[in-house]
Amino acid sequence: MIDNNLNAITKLKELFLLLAVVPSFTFAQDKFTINGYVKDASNGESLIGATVLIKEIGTGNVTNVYGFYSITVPAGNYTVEISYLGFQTQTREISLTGNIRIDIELGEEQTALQEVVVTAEAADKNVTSTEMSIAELDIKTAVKMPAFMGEVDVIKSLQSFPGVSTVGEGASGFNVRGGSVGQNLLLLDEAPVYQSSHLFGFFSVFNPDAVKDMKLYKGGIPAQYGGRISSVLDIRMKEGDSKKMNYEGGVGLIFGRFAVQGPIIKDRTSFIAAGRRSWADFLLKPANVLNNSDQVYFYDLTMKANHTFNDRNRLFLSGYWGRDIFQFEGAGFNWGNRTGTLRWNHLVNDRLFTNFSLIYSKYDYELAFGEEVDNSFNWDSEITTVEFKPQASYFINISNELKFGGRLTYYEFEPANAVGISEGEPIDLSVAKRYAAEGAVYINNNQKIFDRLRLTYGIRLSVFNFLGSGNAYVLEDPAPGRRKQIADTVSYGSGEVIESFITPEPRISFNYQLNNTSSIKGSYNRMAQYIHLVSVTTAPTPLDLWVPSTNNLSPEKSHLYSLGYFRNLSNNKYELSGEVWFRTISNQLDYRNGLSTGDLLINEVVERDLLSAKGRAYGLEFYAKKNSGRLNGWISYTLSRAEINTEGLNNNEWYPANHDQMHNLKIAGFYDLSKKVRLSANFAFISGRPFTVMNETYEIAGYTVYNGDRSRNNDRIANYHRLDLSMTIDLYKGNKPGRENSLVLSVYNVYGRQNAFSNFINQSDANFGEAAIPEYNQFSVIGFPFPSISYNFKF
Amino acid sequence: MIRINPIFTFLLLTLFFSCEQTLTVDTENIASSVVIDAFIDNHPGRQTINITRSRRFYDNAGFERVSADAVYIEDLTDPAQPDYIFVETSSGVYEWTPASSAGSFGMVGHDYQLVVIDGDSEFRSISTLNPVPVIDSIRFNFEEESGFFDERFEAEFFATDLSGFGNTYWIKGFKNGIFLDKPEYITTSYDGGFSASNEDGILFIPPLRTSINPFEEDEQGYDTGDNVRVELLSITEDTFLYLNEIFTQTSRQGGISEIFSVPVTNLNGNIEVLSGNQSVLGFFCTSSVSIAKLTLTEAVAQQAIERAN
Repeated sequence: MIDNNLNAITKLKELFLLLAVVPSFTFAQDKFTINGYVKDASNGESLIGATVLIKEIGTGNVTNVYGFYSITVPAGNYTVEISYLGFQTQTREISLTGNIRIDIELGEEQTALQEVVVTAEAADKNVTSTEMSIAELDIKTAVKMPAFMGEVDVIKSLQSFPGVSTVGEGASGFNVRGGSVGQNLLLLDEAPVYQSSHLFGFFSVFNPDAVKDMKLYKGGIPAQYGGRISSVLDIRMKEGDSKKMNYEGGVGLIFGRFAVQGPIIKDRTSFIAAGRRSWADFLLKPANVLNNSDQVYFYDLTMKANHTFNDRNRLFLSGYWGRDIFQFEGAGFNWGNRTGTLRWNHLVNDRLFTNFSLIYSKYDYELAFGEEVDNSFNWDSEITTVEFKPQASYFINISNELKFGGRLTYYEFEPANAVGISEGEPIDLSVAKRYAAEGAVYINNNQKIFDRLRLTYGIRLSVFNFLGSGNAYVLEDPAPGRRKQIADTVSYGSGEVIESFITPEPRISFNYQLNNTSSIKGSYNRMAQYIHLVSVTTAPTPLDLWVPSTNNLSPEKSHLYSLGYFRNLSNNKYELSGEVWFRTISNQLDYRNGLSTGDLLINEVVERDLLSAKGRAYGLEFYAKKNSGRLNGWISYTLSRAEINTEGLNNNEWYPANHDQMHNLKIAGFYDLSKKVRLSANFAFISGRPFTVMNETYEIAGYTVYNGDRSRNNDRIANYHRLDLSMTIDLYKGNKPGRENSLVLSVYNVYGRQNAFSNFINQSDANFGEAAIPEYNQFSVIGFPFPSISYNFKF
Repeated sequence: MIRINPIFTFLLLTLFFSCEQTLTVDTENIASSVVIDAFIDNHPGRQTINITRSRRFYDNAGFERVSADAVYIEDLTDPAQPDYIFVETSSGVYEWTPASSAGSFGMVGHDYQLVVIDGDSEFRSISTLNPVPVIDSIRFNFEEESGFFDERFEAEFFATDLSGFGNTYWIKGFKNGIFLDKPEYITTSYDGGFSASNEDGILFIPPLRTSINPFEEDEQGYDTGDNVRVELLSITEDTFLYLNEIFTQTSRQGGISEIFSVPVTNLNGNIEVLSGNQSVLGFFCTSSVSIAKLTLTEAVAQQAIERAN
């Protein structure tokens, strides 16, 4: 098995080398390349997804995540048109007699109060590109949406798109097309983020001041992404203004924010540093809610710098550092992520763009109990990854864009580093570290077969090795659905391969354009996931563990099929789309009855309590968007099911997943009341999540306990609906571009619905020794209208 | 098992408002089951098994008692030993009384089988009587007001896990003779720690040692004149899991901790139906027990205060 895999790895290496050589073959001599970068004229930020169109041929290229494009066409005279949503379109007349570099800076469209006006050529991308199942949100739009406590939240705003949902208010993470939270890959400048929330889930860790672009792939996931089976959220940070210094910030109910960005060397080197910190503790301490020695706060710092060496080389260094801290006398808890990404963009030749990334990411938490040093209990847990990722885009010709590359990741899992000090005597309760390595190579071609048909096809081959040093446990499973027993333990030395997995992951998408304004798209994805988020609670907690695939835990794998119809109306003023999708999952994690987070902590062999399930999900998504006008916004609707089948549970029958929500309707609307005042509204309707009804009570060992009919998730909590409103008042009186001084007033849950988060049974507060009387309760997180005010500035 | 929810509740109560309302859920009318509640230990004196029936969720009348035809425990390790016959002393209550008042149930290390016969139904279950360490000592500590706690005396016991991996325990606290019987107080230990780790044979770790204290809003720790009793019981690993399941199922504090609660599921009982059409719920466990008691007299209190200073 291992030998086979090593063999496969060798073959992969050969394939990779071959691919790297391909570009050196030259093509017909009478063709030349136009390439360059497209940037924002006001701050020098690269524009991702700007369209560069050769009018005579009616085709072109879209800038990549670094703002680069390359088009190879026969010699001749051309009109090149460069356009980007919300920016003024530029055209250049060129006489192409040799390779030519055109770096373009686009100026922002000057309209009343940033009303988004769409340029026709760029806006039909949703019809012309093979990309489908995408939720893409420009940070400027996210900022306009009403937000809980006035805090703009990247992840919460993505939930207004079809196919994206959450189990309830305050829940960490999100669910995509029937997948669980741990099946989403969250990338911040390519670094995986293992825990995306502050304050247990109420706010996401991504600082909107530092985010440039976010794109959620729900399906049709290109081959360069891998490692999770449900979705990929690719968040790109701003590079930093390369023209002038500027400062922005604000104060909301939770965070105080400040960001500074500017050039170090104009147009060559720039940086951005953005920080946020909650400030409630400054009020709670004087009010005596908190003692002086208590600490309750959370913060994050997002930083990036870049340097352009020359036309062909550019370097980026970015990082994130965030932490939530809760420290009381006798108990403390803190957690946070750290990421760092070093990237080198290198243009090998006019048509071969490469990027090499070195990535570090770590998530950890610490818990401490005990007031005395001699009698205390402390533990921490972490996951650390180091990754090297070479990537290349080869712009072969006008009809083919080849992407290839790979990834090499080293993981270190520390489930628990725990020390109890008992009467001064330390007791080490630590659980052994685990190690793993993941590698992947991919190749992907985006090809125009003929005018109306575009194909993107590729394959990713991923390999995962669970490594020593450490113990491999041989488990026995006498009763499915219960804790497994350890039959044997085998010890492995450092770096020895304990178990190995390899998965070919084909990816294919097509776009058949029916006419200028409509198209049919389809895609198929095979995805594999080798590390797993073990989360047994309704919403993920900061204590949830990431565990590697082992000899007892197989990789999660999924097939996803999507088919969609895309249509634009009224010169792209309106976008409409509908998609159907179907997903199957194998080896989805499930948990035995009664398993709690506490059982999994400081537990040497968590696989004993993990079950391997089958999953299936299917759905129908509609999306309608009005791009321009005083009133704009979108409506999204999802009809879907997500089900699980686990041996030993629910009489071995399919049952609805915890995040199964049949109807999911979201409306986001924006209205410009005047030049200075903008209104926005959100509405959400979501079917109630399932829960398991307990039909009976009985007494055992002095406790009153419950019994259901052995089926899981056989009833639903109440449907969820909520309206939020906000008003942004522009207080800035001057006329310098890029300045801002605004006040945002908002109300979350306007009509004060007590939306159910869960239905649960609690027991009457009887005295000790008295029988408890259980009753059902509905819990609501925010059951009343919640007003907020925030102030933002930019200068 | 580590108790997570109290931590979260702790941290978030001060920060958020949330609300709860009672509701009536449509429960299915399923046939009730026989419930066998058989936690047996080797403390000298009589042992009790309760047999009842489960009842509908919204039915607040008492539990129906079951008068079975026979209830006994067999020694599987040494079949020559006489069976422990449990006699129905009142409806649904079955007692075994040793021949002498110093007599106790079972022999450490032996496997036992519970047999219950009710009409044409026969139920069986197997458990092992594992050994338990002695409780070395018990004391009171004086704790100053801190965080969410008032000034109080806290009881703490000391015992050392038996050597060998996989020893599981149930720690029961009693204040003035009353069992701290709320589900939040269920405390189990795996090898002297929370869960299976690499450590073995250790002094029970601090949070477990002080798990025998009330932590209610209006009742924290002990006052002068109170007494504490701790029972340390050896249990099987299945019982360890079962008690944790009871905790997970029933200890719901509501409020913001609901976000991190585990969806409710049935308990994994260990009683099997050998014959008949009646379904069965419940658990059979045999335990060795160590007991320690202490009264918080003025003198003990004074010592605790002096030690604190």
